[in-house]
Parts: sequence; C-alpha cells; structure tokens
Amino acid sequence: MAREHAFSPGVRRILQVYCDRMYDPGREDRTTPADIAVADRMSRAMADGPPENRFGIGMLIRMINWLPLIVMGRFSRFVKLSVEDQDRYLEKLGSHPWRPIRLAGVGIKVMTSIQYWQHPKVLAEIGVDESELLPEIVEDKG
Amino acid sequence: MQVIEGRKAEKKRFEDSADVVIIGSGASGAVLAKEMIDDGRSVILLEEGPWYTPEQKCQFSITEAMMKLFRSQGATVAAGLGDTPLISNLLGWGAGGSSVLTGGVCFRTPDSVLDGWVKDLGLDQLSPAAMEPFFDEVEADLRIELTPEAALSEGVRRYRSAAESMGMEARRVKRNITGCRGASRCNFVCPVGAKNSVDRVYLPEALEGGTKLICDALAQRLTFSGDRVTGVEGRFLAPGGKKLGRFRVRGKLVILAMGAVHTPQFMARNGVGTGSGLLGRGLTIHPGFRAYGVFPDEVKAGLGAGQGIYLPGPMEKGITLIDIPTVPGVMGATVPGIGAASREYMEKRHHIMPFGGMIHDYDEGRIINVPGREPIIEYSLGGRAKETFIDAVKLLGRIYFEAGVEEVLISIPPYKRLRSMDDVEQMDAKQVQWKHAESASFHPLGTVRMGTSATDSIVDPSGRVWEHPNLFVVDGGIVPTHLGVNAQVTIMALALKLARGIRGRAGELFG
Repeated sequence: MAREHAFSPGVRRILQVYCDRMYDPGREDRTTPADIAVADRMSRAMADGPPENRFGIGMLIRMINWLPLIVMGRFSRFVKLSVEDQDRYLEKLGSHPWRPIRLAGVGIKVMTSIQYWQHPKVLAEIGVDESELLPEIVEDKG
Repeated sequence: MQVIEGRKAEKKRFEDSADVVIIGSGASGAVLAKEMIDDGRSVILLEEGPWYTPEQKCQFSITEAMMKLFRSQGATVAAGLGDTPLISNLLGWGAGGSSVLTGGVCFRTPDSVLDGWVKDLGLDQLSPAAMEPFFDEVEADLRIELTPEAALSEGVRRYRSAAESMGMEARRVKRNITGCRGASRCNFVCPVGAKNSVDRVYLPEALEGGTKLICDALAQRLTFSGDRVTGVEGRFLAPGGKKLGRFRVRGKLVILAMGAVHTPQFMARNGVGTGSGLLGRGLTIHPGFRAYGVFPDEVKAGLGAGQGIYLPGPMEKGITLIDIPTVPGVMGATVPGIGAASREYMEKRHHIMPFGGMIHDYDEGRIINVPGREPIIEYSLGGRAKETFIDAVKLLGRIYFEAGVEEVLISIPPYKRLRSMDDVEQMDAKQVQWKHAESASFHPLGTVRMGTSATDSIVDPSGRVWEHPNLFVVDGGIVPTHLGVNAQVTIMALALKLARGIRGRAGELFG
C-alpha cells in the first residue's frame, strides 16, 4: 500500500508551526501557511521519496524543535516558545555557526518555501500567473 | 515500445538478455541506446528512477517535478572539510536523467579544453577537429538554436545593455529549445514541451527501435566470467524506495551511464576500475551562486527564456555569468528575512532579476563510497576558487548597478544585501564566512577519467574500463578535466563518438 505521509503527526505539527512563522504574511487578507496546510502538503509530497530523505528531513525537523537551548539559551521546545521568540529563533537558526544547526534551518526552508510560494493562491497574491506565456517564438535559427 | 516499470512487476524474479545492457537513461545512456539500436543490436536500458512520458512531465507542478524528477528530491549536496560551503548538486531522476532538468544551455567543449586533452593527456582522438562532426550531429539532433531575441525578458535586456555600456559583449545563449514560450522554469521541466531533452530526442527513437527500458531498476551487482562482464543484477524499487523483486539481465556488452556521481560508486562496489586508485577522484562540479537584482520598476524576469544571455569575456577568467530561471518557491527560500519581511521581496517579484554565476573548478573533489544508496560527495573551495567566486559576484554586482538596480541580494555572509557600487567594491573573499555561503552546482564530471594509461585513468580512449574487455563507461565521469561550460553537449558528443567506436569494433565486441 502506498505511503500517505512522509512524517509522523508530531513532526508535521512542528513543521506547521515552523511554516506559520516563516511565511507569516502579517496581513489578514493573505493566505497563511495554515490555510493551505503546508506541513501536510510537504509530508504527502515527500511520501514517495527515498527512505533516507524521509528519515533525514524528519530528523532535521525534530532538531528545529529541540535546539532553542543551543541557539538562544532557552529551556523550551520551539513549538512552545512565544511567537516573538519563535521569530527570533528562526532568524538565528539560519546563520548559526554550527553546520548541522544551520543545515536544519536552510534545508527545511528550501523544502517548505516551494510548498508555500508555489501554491496557486499564494502565487496569485504575489502577482504571478503561471499560465502566462509568450507567443510561440520560432525565429532566429542562428 | 517496451517500457517495463519495476514497481508494477508481478514476478519475484525477472530475467532477460540482450546484446547490450546500458545502466542509466540520461544524456549519455539514451544516446548509446539509440546508436546500438541503429547498429542492429538488441538493447536493455536500466533506469533506477521512474518512468513518466514527456507529456506527463509537462503537467507536473514545480513541487511534483522536484519530488518526482530530482534525485533525492533535490536534497543532494557536496560537502567539504574546513571553511567551505555546502554545495547543492541537482541531479535528475528517472527516464531522461538530468537532461530533463537542464536550462537547455548548449556549449561545445571549448577548443582550448580539447587542445589540453590532446597536449597534456595524449587523447589525440578528442582534438577539436576530431570532435567537430560529433558536435555537429548532436547539435542537429537536439535542434539547438539561438535564444530568440523576443524571448528575452525586460530584466535581461536591461542587464545586457548595462554590460555593453561597460564594454562587455553579451551574447544570446544557444539552447536545445524549440518554440520557447518564456515560462522561465526550465529546471522543473518545460511546461510546453519545448526543451529537446533526451526523453524527447534519443529515447523515443531507441524505444521505437526495440530498446527495452526497465525503470525502477536499481543496479547492484555486475556478474563476471573471468574478466568479462556477463550481466547486471539488482532489485526493483517501489515508490518510496522499498525493494521489490530481483532482476537479472545478461549482455555481451555492459555500458555504465549513471553519471559522474553514481557510476564510480557502482564501480567501487563491484571492484571494477579500482586499479589506478583514482576511481571517484578528480570530481569537478562547476560551483556557482545565485543573486537577485531588485529594480525600482517591473522587469518581468519570470516571463522570458530561462537562460537567455551570457558574457563570453569573463569566461576567460574562469567566470560564467548567465541569467537563470527562478520560480517563486526557490526565490522565497533565499530572500532575506522571515515572515512579512521576506514577503516584501516576494510581493516585488516582478522587480527582481535573478542571475547566476559559475566559476571554473580550481579544486577537485571526490566521490566516497559509503553504505546506503547515496555516496558522499566531497568538494571544498580552495583559495583561488574563493577569490574567483567573489570576483564573479563583484562583476555581477557592477553590471546590476549599472543596469539601475536598487539593491542586490546574495547569500554569501556577511554579504547579503549590496545597496551601492561601494558595497560591491568593498567585498573581500577573506571576509566571507564560507561555511554559511549558499552555492549550487549542476555539472558533475571527471570521476572515472579517460586516459592513455591504466596507471593514471579508469577508462581507455574508447571508454572501456582498462581491466575488462566488455565493460564501458560513457557518462560525464570520463570527462578528463573541467570544462568551464555547461556539460550536456560534451557528454552527448563523447557518448556518440564512443558509440561509433563500439559500432566500428562490433565483430570483436559482439563475437
């Protein structure tokens, strides 16, 4: 039977909180990551990927939850930080001097960014019409 | 047309045989399959990834393309020790391999590089004159043409005007794209099917001619009789990577075309090509970076040819600057800030013109065979590479500001936002936190090098592995040195030349 999700519900919860902060539009008239369930979409999209990916990305997401102590000296998991502290934490995560920590920040951002910014509703909000094409061009055989 | 999908195979054990077994259906494997079929040989083409028709691929969203057509869903990276960046390495997955995901850019191997192979390595048969007919043939097959002027976005035109006003020539790129509609997402499959990748050019002819393409087929072992290779064994893969039934295919000739990252891993695991101690070494990747120029008004970079122009002048100094297609999802991952701060840039997407830079390989990496499906790709930027890297960013920055941008966004800490020409000029390679810099590469080559002696190369000038009379390698791994240009035409022309060599020795090789 085909796998439905790459990640457990717990990992998906962490991921959704991450996305909520990372792509918080800051305006009520814009699509939020929660509106389009970015974490669930990413988890389903990666379900058919290689097992090393599911394990590796899942570990990176868990690391994000565990690292506030190392990154900002807070005895708390990421999901339990205040919204302001979550923002501060994510800012620091991507530029942390330790490579594995930085990798967690950058790696997850690349994966989730595509899920969020390529969603048709979000594309429309930033003025991107993916169906817009030039007329067929067959000149210049040079 | 025979396409066997391993994920759907009902038998627990699949066996077959052909004159030629080729592993890998990308830029070189597809060329070989077509050539062998043209020569009247039976061919089995093994592909680890899945099968999708070109039409199906056109329908994929960006996410689907990344998840289904990028090896490891785009998560392949090269890493090195010391102060050096992680370099993402985008590789294709599935029938057609990386050729499906290129920007379509087609450069011939520079004559200076070919001359070097002749003079320094004794590869006389790869001289410019000897290679020319193969370049001609590949270019005709791929229907290579100059990027149409009408397909250049407003952003690219401004950039070109700025470069020309600074005394630099800017040329339109030749691409294997016919009827470009400017979707600017070439790296995620052309949505209108305009890119003449090998799944549209060579594979269909090979399949029509009788090639059996077996997808979802993970090649694991070579079988031998003495020093002759007799076939390939492996496992079929389900979506998600679960191993299914076993397969075994026999062939009079076995050709490895898995690419410069995975061919050396496969060879090392099978104990072939290891005599010189150089297998997997000599990796070149053409490392690069991405930058965004933010204009005060709309330049509509997302509507136009993906990679339309380049500057030939800086290439002589090891720098390739070329506009690059960048979908919002990729841009969103690299613009500064989080939340509303990054959204500000995304809402100004039509003001932003992405450009990329690549630098020549002054260093060499290696492929390290480790347990598991993927090898470790080890690559570090040395001092000269870092200097050239920053020279490339500075040159790009100067052109951007000459073109009228308000700021340039880069991910080379501490340099993230360049707001003036002064900011550009003050950049210094010694100040860069290289571990934090973002870098990408697209052209892995050189890990199964061709040469004239078994002591300093893995394959002979015909592509044959020195120790085995009927085992050949034809992919980017055999390219003996870095190219300084995009690699697909070189890989295909070499594959074509070696295929013709095999055809010319048919009596000896096929008995």
